[in-house]
Amino acid sequence: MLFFRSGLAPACLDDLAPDKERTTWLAIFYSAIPVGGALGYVGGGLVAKWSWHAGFLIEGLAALPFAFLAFFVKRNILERQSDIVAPVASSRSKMAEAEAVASGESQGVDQASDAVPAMEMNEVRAGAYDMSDISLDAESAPPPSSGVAAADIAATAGSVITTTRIQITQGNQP
Amino acid sequence: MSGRLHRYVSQRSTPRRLLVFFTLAQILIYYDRGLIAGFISHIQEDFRISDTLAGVLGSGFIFGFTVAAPVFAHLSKHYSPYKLMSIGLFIWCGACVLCGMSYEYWVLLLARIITGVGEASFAGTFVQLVL
Repeated sequence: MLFFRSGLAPACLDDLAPDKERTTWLAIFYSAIPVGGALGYVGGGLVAKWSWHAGFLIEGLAALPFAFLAFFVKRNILERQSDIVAPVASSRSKMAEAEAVASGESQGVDQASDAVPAMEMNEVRAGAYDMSDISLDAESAPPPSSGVAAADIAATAGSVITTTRIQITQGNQP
Repeated sequence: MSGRLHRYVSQRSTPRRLLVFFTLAQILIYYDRGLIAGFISHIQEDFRISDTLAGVLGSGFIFGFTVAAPVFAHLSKHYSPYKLMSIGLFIWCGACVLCGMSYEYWVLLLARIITGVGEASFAGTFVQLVL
């Protein structure tokens, strides 16, 4: 699994998709390549009888909404994570601490963390994704009621990240 | 205005919709690759060009793609991949319109190369979104 993620697979979909549907999503995405090619041959043959200039123009206009939409998508998952981590972290904190203690590899973690920064973000985001639908409304939710709660959230978020690093360290070692 | 649009689109960009978005955009990009194959004989008649030049036209976008893909992949580490994707798709739109308006072989070849640049933004940043 780690090898698959570190390859040149379309990492974005790999990151966005729920665990169980990941392969289906990749299949849907890659099926677009032959489908698009086939449509192109058919469409090209049909339109060329009329005018190939018009074919290119129509295609250019059809791509315009995609360009607009892509510009306004601000789904930088790193930024969203600040909204997401709080609810996830509180539910995971005890498990994360237990794992960190049990593995007892805190010294090896720091060395490995420099080598695999992208991987650890992968893991954190994958964990955070489960709450994404809820967190879409997180901006309207009230902030933590006291300074103690905020500190607790920050601490537990840290422990989640530490745990993921440990998992990666173990995964990369033969 | 721009801020409200950002919020509107961002709040509605669930992973499932992004999958649909990526898939449709990918279909459109590969549609373009098939399209030139359907047009090539008609273009050859219009411009009265040799088979060699027609072949160069068919694979012309690869020049732009090859040059631009590493550049976009590098840029995607410093800038938002979605912004780069958008810029690339706008370039792609412009290049397609230029293709449609070209009545000269070299203009069409140039437009095809620019089309390759636009495609590279999608392919390059898409893979790089997470790295």
